[in-house]
Amino acid sequence: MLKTLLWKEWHEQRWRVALATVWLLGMTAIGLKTRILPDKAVVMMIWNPACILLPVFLGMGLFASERKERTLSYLIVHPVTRSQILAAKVIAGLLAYLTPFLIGGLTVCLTVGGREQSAADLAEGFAIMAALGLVFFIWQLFAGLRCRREETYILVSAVVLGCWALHGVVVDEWRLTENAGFWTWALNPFAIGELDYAKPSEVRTVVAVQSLILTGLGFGLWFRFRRLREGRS
Amino acid sequence: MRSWIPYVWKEVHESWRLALAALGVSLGISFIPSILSAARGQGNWHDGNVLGVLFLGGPLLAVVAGVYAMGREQGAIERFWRSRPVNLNRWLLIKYVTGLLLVWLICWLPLGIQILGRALEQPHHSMSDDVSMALVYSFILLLIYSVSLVLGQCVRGMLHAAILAVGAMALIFVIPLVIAPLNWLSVEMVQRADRGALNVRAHIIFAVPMIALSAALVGLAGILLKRNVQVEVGGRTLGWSVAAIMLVLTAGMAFPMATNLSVQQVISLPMAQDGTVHDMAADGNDVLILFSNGSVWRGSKLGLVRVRIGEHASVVDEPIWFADPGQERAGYYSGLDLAWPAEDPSLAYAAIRHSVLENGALKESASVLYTVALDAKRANPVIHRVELNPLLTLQDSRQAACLYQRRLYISSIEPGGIRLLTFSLADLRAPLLVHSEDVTHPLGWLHRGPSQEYQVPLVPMPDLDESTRCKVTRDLALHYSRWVPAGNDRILASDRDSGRFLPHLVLYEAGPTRDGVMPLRPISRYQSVAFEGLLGTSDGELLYSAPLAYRLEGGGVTVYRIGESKSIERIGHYAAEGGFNTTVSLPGNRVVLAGKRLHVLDLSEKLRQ
Repeated sequence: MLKTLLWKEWHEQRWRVALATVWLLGMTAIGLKTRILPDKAVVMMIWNPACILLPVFLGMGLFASERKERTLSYLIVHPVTRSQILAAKVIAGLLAYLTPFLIGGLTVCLTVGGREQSAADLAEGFAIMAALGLVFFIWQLFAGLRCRREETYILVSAVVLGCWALHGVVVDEWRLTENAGFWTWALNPFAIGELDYAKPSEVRTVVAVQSLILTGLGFGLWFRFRRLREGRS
Repeated sequence: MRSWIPYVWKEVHESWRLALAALGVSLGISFIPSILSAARGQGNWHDGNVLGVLFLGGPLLAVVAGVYAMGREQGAIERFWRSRPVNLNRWLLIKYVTGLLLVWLICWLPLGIQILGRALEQPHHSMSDDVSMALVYSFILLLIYSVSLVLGQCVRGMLHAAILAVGAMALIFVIPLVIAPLNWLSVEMVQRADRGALNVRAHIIFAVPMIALSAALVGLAGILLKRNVQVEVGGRTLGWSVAAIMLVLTAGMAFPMATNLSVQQVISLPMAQDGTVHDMAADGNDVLILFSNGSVWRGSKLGLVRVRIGEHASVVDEPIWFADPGQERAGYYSGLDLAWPAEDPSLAYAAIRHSVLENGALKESASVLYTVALDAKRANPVIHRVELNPLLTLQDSRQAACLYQRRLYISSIEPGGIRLLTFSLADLRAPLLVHSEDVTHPLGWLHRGPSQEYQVPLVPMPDLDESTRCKVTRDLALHYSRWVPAGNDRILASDRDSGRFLPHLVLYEAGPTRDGVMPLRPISRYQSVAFEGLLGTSDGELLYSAPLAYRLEGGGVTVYRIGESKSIERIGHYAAEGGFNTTVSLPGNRVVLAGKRLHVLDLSEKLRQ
């Protein structure tokens, strides 16, 4: 049954995946072909906003669109457990989010890897950006699970981003990392984008804290979805 | 309903939450960091980045307010209102004005608070440029808001309308920058306002078309409202349309300024990945490079390396390390300038700075002039050193060096002007100080004099001919001037007052020098493609090697042809790695760009075309 649910989700999400892939690849290709700026600057300029925007664009198609179209109630009355529905949606969402990054990253590494930066350096940068977006994706999915409209989902996603940005400002301004420990910054998803490999202990802290948070969000998502009440037409 | 009051009451009642939320966000982002800094005793509470918030947040607020004004009435509510005796014109006008006031209030209030704060604590601090910038920007916001209002009215679904409005906002910003005849309506006007280059007439000329366009858009919204025209835009259609518009716009602005110069050679240097090239000097096809082996903050050592650049391959000599902090972590060296005498290419003069740190902060710094023997076999390549600090007032000022006819000149910025040290090179291996002079006029600063005539003060060496004086002045003022001699009696300069994201290039004709000042008359001007400036820095170094001029930008270099005629023609662009620090020209229209590696460009083919 999971396979059927995955097929359904893929069928609904594939246009978003295609659009995101075409946009990401197109913009990157224009930048790398014209070489107005060094390759690293081009990739940063396009992929940094992408890892913030794509989770919202792909996340709003999972629950908010379905609730807006009032089709979630039909899905729930099918002989499948809620865990399966949630699993299918989350897996499809993650695949939909990661596919443009994977295709775009592979294409860039194969075409311009070694030109100015090695393919390994480029791939490392892409992996970090994809991971940053992935954490935001899960946060936004958790916060926007009950949104009945796509507009609301975007708003909730913006609030999530804003809260973490504010957290970053507070940590920085009050020097919490010095006063209370590095974990205060490691909580923030933006910490993934600023990993300092010269300090392995900090990298380990960020990975550990973010893994714990993701696990917690996964449980929270499951818990919230189980309690979700959808009116039947 | 014949009265205006119910319409106003309804709009205010429905908009105040949005207004409060936007105001809170705007004030919070603008002032919370500065308030926190002030609480720690660093800076003032009103030093927040109000204009930054306005420039980034203003357009988004205009989109939200515009779409929200009409979009929220869609559906059953609109049917309800249409069944009432509502005057649609009044309804629309009140909506428009309320939303616009909301946008302008939220944009101007933080600036007003900042002005008030500064007026109370720093009465002499003028903010007229900030006000002028905000004023110009307000009219751009007016247009964005008007377009968003029309889209909120005619596109079914607020989200779809908002996405289209964001696309329209991008067009409003981009189209005037890309299409040259519309440049006068572009966001670059804000930059001009920042330079104080806009008078009242310029403000009016900018504002009138914006107001006219907005009025036309309100009229269009009224027609659409009366005829109840609403279009359904599917999510997929919308997404693909926006993506296509973005790709076409990006390609349209990127390809005209694309990299079209190919590199002849890329030469690796014997330095670590985070090393820095400080300066270069050329003698024929040989290039001498002053570089540090790593990030200067990590106590890296300074070295010189000679590179013999051939047609297709190059030879990099052994590096000569002459300033090495060793294991010392409390200091670092940085290179300031390099001079390479043609009389004896086995010697080089390097002005460097040694900085001493204490608890991570700069404690003291000392500038030293080294004479270095370029013989790798010597145990100690430094054959002479002159401590410059006792000769200068400021410890941390920046020095520039210039060689001319057995004289080595060192200039240094001092509190009252520029100190010019002259060293005799009677003995090339031991520079001897023969003269020290304080130059009170702003040496090498291209500016307008009292008679509004462009001029540049030259070095006080009246025995030199004008073209040599000009060249020496440029070398000594390199770090704070953005001009270069371009042939006989001509100067090529970046016009910082042009108010462009990337300054214009201006070719000046030099007149006879009077009282050490060279008068200049602009004879030609090159307007950069507006978007070039968005992608690079605007204060790049200029180099001229007839007939080509090179301008270093944030990510690369742009090459211009300046022949005997007055015209300035852009012939190409080249970007690679992390951009370039410095450049020298070689014979045969070749140029060497130094970044993490050396990039050699051969422009002969381009010139033949």
